[in-house]
Amino acid sequence: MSYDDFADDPMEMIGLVMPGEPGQLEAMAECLVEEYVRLGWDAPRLLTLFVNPMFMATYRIYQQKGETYVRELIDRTCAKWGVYLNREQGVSHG
Amino acid sequence: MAEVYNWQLGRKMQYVFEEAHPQKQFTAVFNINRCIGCQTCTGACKATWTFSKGQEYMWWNNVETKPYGSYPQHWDIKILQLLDEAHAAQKKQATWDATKTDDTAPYGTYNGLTIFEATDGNQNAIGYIPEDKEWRAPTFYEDTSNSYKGDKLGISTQGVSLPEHQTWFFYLQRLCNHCTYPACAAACPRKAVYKRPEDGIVLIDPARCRGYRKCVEECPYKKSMYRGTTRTSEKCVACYPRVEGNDPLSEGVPMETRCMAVCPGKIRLNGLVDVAADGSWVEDPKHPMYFLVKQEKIALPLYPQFGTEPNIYYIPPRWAPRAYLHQMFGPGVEAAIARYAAPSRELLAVLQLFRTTQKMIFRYEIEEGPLVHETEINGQPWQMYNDTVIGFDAKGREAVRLSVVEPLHERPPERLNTI
Repeated sequence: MSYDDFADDPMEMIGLVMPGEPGQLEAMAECLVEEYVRLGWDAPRLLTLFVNPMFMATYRIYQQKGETYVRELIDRTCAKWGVYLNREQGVSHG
Repeated sequence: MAEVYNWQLGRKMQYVFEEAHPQKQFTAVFNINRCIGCQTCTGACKATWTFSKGQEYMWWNNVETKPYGSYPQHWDIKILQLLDEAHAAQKKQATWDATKTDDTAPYGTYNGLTIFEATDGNQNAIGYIPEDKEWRAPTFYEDTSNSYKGDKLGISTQGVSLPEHQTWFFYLQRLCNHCTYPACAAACPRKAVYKRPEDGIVLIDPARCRGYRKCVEECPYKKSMYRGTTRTSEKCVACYPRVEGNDPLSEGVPMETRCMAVCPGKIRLNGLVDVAADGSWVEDPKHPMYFLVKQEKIALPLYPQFGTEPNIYYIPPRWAPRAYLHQMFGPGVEAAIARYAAPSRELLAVLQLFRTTQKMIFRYEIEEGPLVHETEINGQPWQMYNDTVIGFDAKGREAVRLSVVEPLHERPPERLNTI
């Protein structure tokens, strides 16, 4: 059944772009990276989330901020949590 | 109208009934940062309470994706709009004065109108009755693509492109707030809605209800729902048999509700707090609810400006735009997120208690452990200690014991698939 059959459907889906605010993309990126680093993901594996366009949120960050930014963010976050994870839980990092 | 004190607004406000408070209050803290939107809470509530004829579109608990989704559709936008219109008509501004805060006004003072004060006299609180279609699809407008023209089978010949949002959304867990000043109770012409003196749970008496739907109209959170088959309204009952301690599992102590107890993301903590005669919470710094809401102030009420003094509190998501969160949770947002992002030693331990036992925790103790990690958060040094937190039930018995560093169990390669 086609959507055209519901031309006057009041429940028709409408996609809207929501505005963001300065600094929010960076905060989102930091949360995402921190979450995965604390789950034990290493840097190369984590980078695949950003370069693969199928992961829309992370890919958007990659597109807007560039690879250098993403790499630095991952390195910084690994340094923040990685040593502790390595020592206490034996999770390996690349 | 009577004058009552609303500590979330930091001022007195107009309400239909004289000020009166229960001995204890049913409360909960939801950590939005942890929610994965799995709807297990929604399913548990549905399977327990709303599985019968006439309740098909009734979801006492739901999780909606903000800012796109809402159940019923656009409920909060519609109430905010009504409130805006009332402000415009009375030439007032809905502002907060957060310059002066204290225990009686922890978020400052709200200078705008509440839903009780914004009425034109025909209602006890401003509101509207959602149309049937607005209840039908609880997750509508979430993760939706642009509409497109399909072929006769509905398949797009061009492919479909998704709208590119700025990268943020969060899940908002919703149920009845068991408000201190319930708008549903204020609205009911039959006085069928009441707040229990023993635990502050708000219930509808089905024997008195005649289905006028005034509670559906005036509850700003839209958590009273009409059931056509019985011609009465129904709402979340806070799983009161569990809260009363009547479930055999709990050995006679209060248990968390079904929606709280099933949460796989461990985002929920449910409890009863002692309430003083003036409506303030009795000081109890070792009660997890008191600690999170009153002491650390990391958990905030949902739309406090509505004026109902809701009793479900939220730890706001640290990645969402502050202006949006400020509208939703009031002026305490910035401080709450700052405390959550770099938690104190005690807070880090208390956060472990979420969803670890079905029994409600009335008190916690912390046994100090070793320093396990030092790092920098937002330019400030931060230490992590492997403390042990112990939660006690209503009878003072140990209910749960956890360490800050969770033990990691790795399945050996030869038994990777032995389930």
